Order: sequence, then structure tokens, then C-alpha cells
Amino acid sequence: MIETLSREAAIIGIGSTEMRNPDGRSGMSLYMEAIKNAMEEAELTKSDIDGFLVYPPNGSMRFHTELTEQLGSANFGKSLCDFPLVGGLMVGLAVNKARSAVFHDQCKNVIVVGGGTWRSSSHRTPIGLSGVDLSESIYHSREPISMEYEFPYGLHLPALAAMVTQRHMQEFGTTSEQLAAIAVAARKHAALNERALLRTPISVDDVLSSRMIAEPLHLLDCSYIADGASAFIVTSAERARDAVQEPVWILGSGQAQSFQHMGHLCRGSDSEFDLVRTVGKIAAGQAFTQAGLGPEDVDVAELNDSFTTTVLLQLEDYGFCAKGEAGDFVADGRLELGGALPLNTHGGLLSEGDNGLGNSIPALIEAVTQLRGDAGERQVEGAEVAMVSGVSESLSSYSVALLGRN
Amino acid sequence: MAEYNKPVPGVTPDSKEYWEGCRRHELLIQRCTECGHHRFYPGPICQAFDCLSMDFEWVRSSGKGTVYTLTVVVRAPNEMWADLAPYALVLIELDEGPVMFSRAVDIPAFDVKIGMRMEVVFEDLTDEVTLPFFRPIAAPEA
Amino acid sequence: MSKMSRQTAIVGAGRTVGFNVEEHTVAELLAQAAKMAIEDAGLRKSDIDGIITTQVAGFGSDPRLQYRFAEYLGFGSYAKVIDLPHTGGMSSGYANNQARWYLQQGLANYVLVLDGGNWREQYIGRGRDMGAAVRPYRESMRSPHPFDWEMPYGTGGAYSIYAPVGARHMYEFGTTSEQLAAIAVACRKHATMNERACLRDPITIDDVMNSRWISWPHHLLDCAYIAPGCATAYIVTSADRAYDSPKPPVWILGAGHGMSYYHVGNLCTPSPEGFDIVRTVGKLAGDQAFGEAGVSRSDIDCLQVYDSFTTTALLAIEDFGFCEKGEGGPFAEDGRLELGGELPLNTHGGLLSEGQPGNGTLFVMYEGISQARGEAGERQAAEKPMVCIGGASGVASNFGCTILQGE
Repeated sequence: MIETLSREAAIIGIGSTEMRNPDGRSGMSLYMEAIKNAMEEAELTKSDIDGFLVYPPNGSMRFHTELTEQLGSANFGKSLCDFPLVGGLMVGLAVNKARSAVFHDQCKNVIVVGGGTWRSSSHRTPIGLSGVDLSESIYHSREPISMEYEFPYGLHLPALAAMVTQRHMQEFGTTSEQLAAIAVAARKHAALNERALLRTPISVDDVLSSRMIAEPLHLLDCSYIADGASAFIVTSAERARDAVQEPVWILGSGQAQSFQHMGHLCRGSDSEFDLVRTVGKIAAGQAFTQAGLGPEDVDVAELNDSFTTTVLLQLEDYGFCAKGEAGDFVADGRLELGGALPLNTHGGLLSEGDNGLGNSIPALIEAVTQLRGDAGERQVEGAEVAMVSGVSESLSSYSVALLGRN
Repeated sequence: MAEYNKPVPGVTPDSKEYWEGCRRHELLIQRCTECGHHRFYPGPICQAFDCLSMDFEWVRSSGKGTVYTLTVVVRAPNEMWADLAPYALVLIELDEGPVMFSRAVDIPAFDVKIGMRMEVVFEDLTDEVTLPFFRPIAAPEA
Repeated sequence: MSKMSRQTAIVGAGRTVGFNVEEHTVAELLAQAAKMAIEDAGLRKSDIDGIITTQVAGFGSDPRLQYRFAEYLGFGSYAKVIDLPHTGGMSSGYANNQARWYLQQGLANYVLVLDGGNWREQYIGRGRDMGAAVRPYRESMRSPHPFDWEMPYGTGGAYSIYAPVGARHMYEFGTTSEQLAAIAVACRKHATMNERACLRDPITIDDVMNSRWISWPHHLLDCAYIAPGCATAYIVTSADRAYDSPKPPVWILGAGHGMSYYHVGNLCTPSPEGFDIVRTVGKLAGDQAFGEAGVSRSDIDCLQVYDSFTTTALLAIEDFGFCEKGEGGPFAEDGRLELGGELPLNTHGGLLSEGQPGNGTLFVMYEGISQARGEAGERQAAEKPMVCIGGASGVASNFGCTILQGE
């Protein structure tokens, strides 16, 4: 009974706001603008949308229902409305749910929306960047929580990624210069993207001389926190053929989760996986199998780059290079436009901006733009297959989607 | 002003005008400038069938409406509300269309009925927050 | 579109014994339930590669709780699918569909679905300060929280916002308190046969009518009994693995879900499709599930629904199509919902009498599985019953519906 659903669903609309919010608008307002833009691009009306996968700005359990409510009467009765999981996992999970829903005729069109107001928000959290007040869940519950054994020591997300990085360096001889090359490539692409927040070109030296956040990660190894929202619309193969926009096909998607506690991540299992050998391998393997493709078929990669290290791990675990060799792989402009594997052609979270829990949607939107041939100056010529990924903030869970040109 | 011991709403960019209106004892609702649909509670986009307009104006509601449904809360949610129970929570269908949540005042809780005509009355809870309540319309309406 | 009916089956189920939380955390109870389900299915822990956790009460506001859980249970190692639907009490139909989708795509072989909670401690032991829950939302979202429009008037949990639904049903259709009470009486009658149930003394319609008002028109006995800690779990797999477990499979014939609004004011505004506060999207859920299963309402031998209030069950009965809209009141009379009647309802006693420890939706599901397996003892509705299971969340805003049948 297994059906891979390759090319059974397609993306037929994309929409975004700016990555900034100078007027201090509400998150809801930004989300609505992104939805409106996606629907108008696809020439769909409210009553055409009967599925909503919503990544709330702050982990709120009810935001998804409130959003559909504010969108109004045409969406009173809908077949799918969920806040499915959080963080970097969204691409694979949302794509999977959306395409299953349209394939099984549960829904006609599913909209996926996410974003946030991280930069403008007054709400600061103990872990700085997550947008979720962990202190509440830690101290207001008597249930066991692995974070209790980590956060009291002063852990924040960059520190967590830094510990992974340190281990990668120790095992494989990866250098800070190599990591910096990832940030340099992203910035180079951001210079060609009007939406990007950081567009001034940088050098490897600029990255290395930016202030240290958590040894060995510098400021420019970390994503740039932004405001904004973005959305895309998934429909069935049958409906996609009548779409106004050229459909971009979902070829495959996969996901895999592991531990949250770092101790478990280090040595948590008898399997092949650990802190620097991630379950991203399972996620990408699923996606490639469904699509009948391999890493060599990917023309452009829009991968989660919460930190430069995040990209490094994925390049290895998705099979673009052997384990431990990503440091060498990223050198010589291989990730830059014109290189063998153009990566984050919009600038990624590092340079375009990181707008919160739905932060993989801008990457997906860039992939769609590339496959439609609409990327202008930053177009990867002849791009047929794009990879998009999401990675959880603790670098422990991964999701991958492979998209293909019409 | 005496210490108010019950939850008060928060003011956000989308709802700021509404709460400021309440402080002036005016019930403001949004009206879509494209299709004319009225909406409550405040939000950035029109809620009418298939209207996607994000343009709107604030208009003053007549403050009159009809009880759509209600409950009489007898068991207070917590100690905070014990002094008030039993009280009638009402859903008021405003004459402009939207249905808003409120509490009936100036009438014994168990006397409130579905279909009853009501009008808004404001109470200043704190220096910052004024809340609209609804009371029966006494005189026959023209 | 592919046919999903009878392509997946439930092969294991577990439920912790009784209700208690004094000496256990919810996490422990969930671990127990998971262990029972895995053993029941004749599996090993490492066979489980998909986990769907409902919003488990007691775990604070952490949206990542599914990871914490998977890790705590030792499943987190390398599960391919971990999911946490944010769909509250309607999660049964929803989770069942999600599980089927994962199985159908080959993303997982065995999906474990979990639910549990300790509402009694949460709600009664500590009180519940909605203000505290709303504040971080406002600050980080800078959007109004839906509670802003209700809570300042004195709402305090589901009971005060569900009661207006019952009041409107009475107003539009002439439904009476006695008719609602008949639902509570049927559930209690069934609870007397269920050792797990919290409330087992038989009651009459008068008992319900004479119980104190909680929020008019709901009496105390129209409301679910908030129970101490409990957890339940079951395992869904694909047809090709369905016979690998010791017990005969319970087939999922159909599943559907429909969602709508949360704010009661908006629920009162009729939608273009004709939905409103007393005409719920349970119709969407029911039509999907029955359509997929290709069976009719009269084929159903027992109905297990989320009965947070008698009104909630009433709406499910009508909107799933067991009677015409507005006729749920008369339908509930004359013992029709009791064992031996036309459509036995909540043969375990439901949340009204067995108890509601959390979202509760999967406890209803658990009874449905027991019935389909023919394991319900003196409560057994039929020899090989076809079972309809319903969940609801929000303010009867969202519904899930599942149809099961044993081998």
C-alpha cells in the first residue's frame, strides 16, 4: 500500500512580507499579508483554502485556530487546521501533511504559513533566540524535562551549536575559516536579493573578526533575527494542472527526529548516529528514495542555516560529501552561484534573515522561485531539482523536501 | 480608583483603537472599506466571504444588539469571581452584524433571555481599562 | 486519491489502571500505557518508529513536549516521525488520519498514539490563571489573544463557554434539560459496569436535574468529571503487518475531521456553508468518515464520543448524522442511548462518568477499540460491533470521527 506520492502534489502559490517590521505591526497582520499575497498570486479565493498548517510566532497552542478565524467566514468549516510541530522540522512535516491531505482529498488547497516578530518583540526568553519561554515549562511543571539538566548551566542556542561545532572540529579537523566560507557565500547571494536584510559583502576575515558569541561560533556564524511572515499553497496534481502559476512539484520529503538532551545526542544510542552524525541522513534518504534521485541530481540547495555548522552537518549527512569532509567541500566557492552546488541563493537565515518558527518557508519560497526561473540575477541556470530543509534549533531533528520544475 | 482584582485585557497594535474607544465610552468596530463588512474582534483582514482586503476604518457601533445565547455562571471559575457569581455571560449580536462576548448588567442573571434587546454600557475598571457590558434596553425602541 | 479504508489497523492498546496521580507523574503514566500497548501488540520498543502525542495536560506550554516525551520513553532515539497535533479533544479522528498518512507514505511502520493528563491536579489543585497563559502570547505576538474578548467577563474554562451552546440549542430546537440529562443517565448506567470509572452509582434524570447549577443550562451532572491522572495508548500499522500481532486487528474503516473557529462570538455568526454554534463541523468529520467507510449510520452498533458536556455529545449525535439536526433531544430519550437501545453511547461511561483526566479523546477511543475487539465484557454492545468514535475541541469548534471494526 505504500505510495511515495512523488509528483502527486504541487506548490502553486507563494507569498511573503518584508523581513522587517518598522511600524510594529502585529504578528497576525504580517501572517495575513503573506497569506493574502500567496492567495492572490495563485488567484485563489478564501473558500478555495480548506487546509491550514500554521507555525505560530511563539509556540502558542491556539494561534492556528485564531488565524483561520480572523481570516473569516469562508473558512468556517475546514478540513485541516493544525500547528504541526515546531522549529526546523516544518518543511518536511508540513509538506508531508499538506500533500497527504490533498492526495487523499481531505483538502483542496492547503496553505502553510509561518513567521514571527522576533526582532521587534519585547518578549525575550532565557534561551535568547527560541521565542518560547522555556522557563515556564521547566518551572511550572513537575514532569521530567531534559532541559532542566542543561539550561541551568547557562546554555543558549548558539552555545549548543558551538558544542556541536567544537566536536566536528575535533573529529574532522574542520576550521573556522571553512565555516566562514558558508557565511560568505550566503552574503554574496543576499547582495542579489532585495528582501535580504544584510547585503554588504563580507570576507572570511570579516567573519573571523566578528565578535565571539560562543567559541568557536562568531556573530556572523549565527542567523540574523528578523520579523516577517511567509506562506505557500499546496494542491493536488489534478488541480495543479489548472493553476495560474507554473506548478512546482513535490518529488519527495522525509523527516527524522532524535534526542533533545545533548547527552543523549552525544552517545544516546547504539546506532550509527551521534552529535555530528545526524539523523538528517534518514530524512534525506527518504526524500531521495521517494523522488528516485540522489544528491548529484540537486541543482540548488536551500538548506537551514541557523548556524554555519548546521549547513556543514547537512552537506555531509545528506550525502553531498563524505562524513567529515564538508570543511573542504565548502571551500573554493562551491556553494556560491556558479559553483557546483549553489546554496541558499537568497542569503539564508544568515543574511536574508531568520523570522522565527516558520523560518524554513523563505527557503522553500526561494526554491520555488528558482524552479520557476524567476530568480533574476541570482537564477541558477537550468535548475530542475531543488532541495529544501528544516533543522530543529538543537540540531537534532531534520526534514527535507525535494522539489522539481514543471 | 479601587484595586480591580479580575483579569483585564491587554492592549496590542490590532486592538489599541478598540480599547481607546472604550475609554471614551464608544464601542468601536472595524468596517472593511472595500466591501463594507463589519467585524469584531479587531483583526488585520476582512472576515467577509472571500474578501481579502486589509483596508478598514473604525466606526462607532450603535451599541445595540440582541442576546444570541447566554449562560449563567453559578460556579465561579476561581476565588477571583466568587463575589460576582451567579452572573450572566451573553453573546450579543450587534445590530451591525458581529457577535460579541460580554456580561449582562443591571438585570438579575437568571432573567436574561435569548432574543432580549440590550445596549452597551461602559465601566471603567482601572485607570487604563474600560470594559463594555450590556444592559436591557428599558424603553420600547422606535 | 487512494482508498484508505481498511488499509490500516490498530494492533495494540493500553490504558493505565484506574486513576491516580499522587505517586505518579503523567510521564510515568504515559510510559506505562505505551508499554502496555507495545506488549499487547507483541512488539518491541524498537519497532515503534512513529509517535503521535496529543497535547498532554500537565506538561506546561512547551510545544516541544513530544520530543521530551519520546526521549523520556526512550523512543526518541531514531523515530522517523514524531508529531504533536494541536487539536485538543478532537485528536482521535485527527491522529488516526495522520497515522494513516504516515503509514501510507512508508514513513513509519508502527505509529504509537498517546494521550494522558492529570487535570484534577492542574485545575483543582492549583487553579488556573488564564491571565498568566495569555501574557507571554500578547507580548511576543503583539496580537490580541482570543481570551481578551471573553476572560475579562468571567469565563473560566470550558464550562462557561460551552453552556451558551446548550442554551442556544434549547432556544432553537426546544431541547430540554431532561433530554440532556438522559445522556448523563445513559453514561452513568454504563459506568456501573466499568471498574475503571470514577462515578459508578446509578443516577436518574431527577438526580441530574437536582444537581447544582454549574453554568446554566448545565447542571453539575451535565459536566465531565475531572479525573486524576491516567494515560492511554494504541498502535496503528499497515494492512501488511496487521496479522503479525497476537490479537486480531481492529480495522480503521474511515476517519475524518473538520475544524472551525474558537471565539464564541464568531461561532455564533452563521457561515456561508450553514455552520454555526449549534450546526457544527462535526458534519464534515462524520460525512468524511462514513463516506470513506462506505457504511451507513444504521450500521453502527455503538457510539463513543467526547462528552465534555451532555451538549457536546448531543451535537455529535446530530452532526454525525445519527438523527436530524435539532432532534438530538428526543433521540436521547427512551433509553435509546443505553446498552440494549438503538445506539448505545459511551459504553465505558464517557468523560461524564468514567472521568476526564486530560484531553480525554483517546480514552473514548480506547473503549471503542475494546468494543471492536469484543473485550468489553458485560458492556459489550454487540458480538462484532461496528464502532463510531468522536472527538471534539474548542467550543464544539472542531470534530474528529473514526469508524472501527474488529476482524
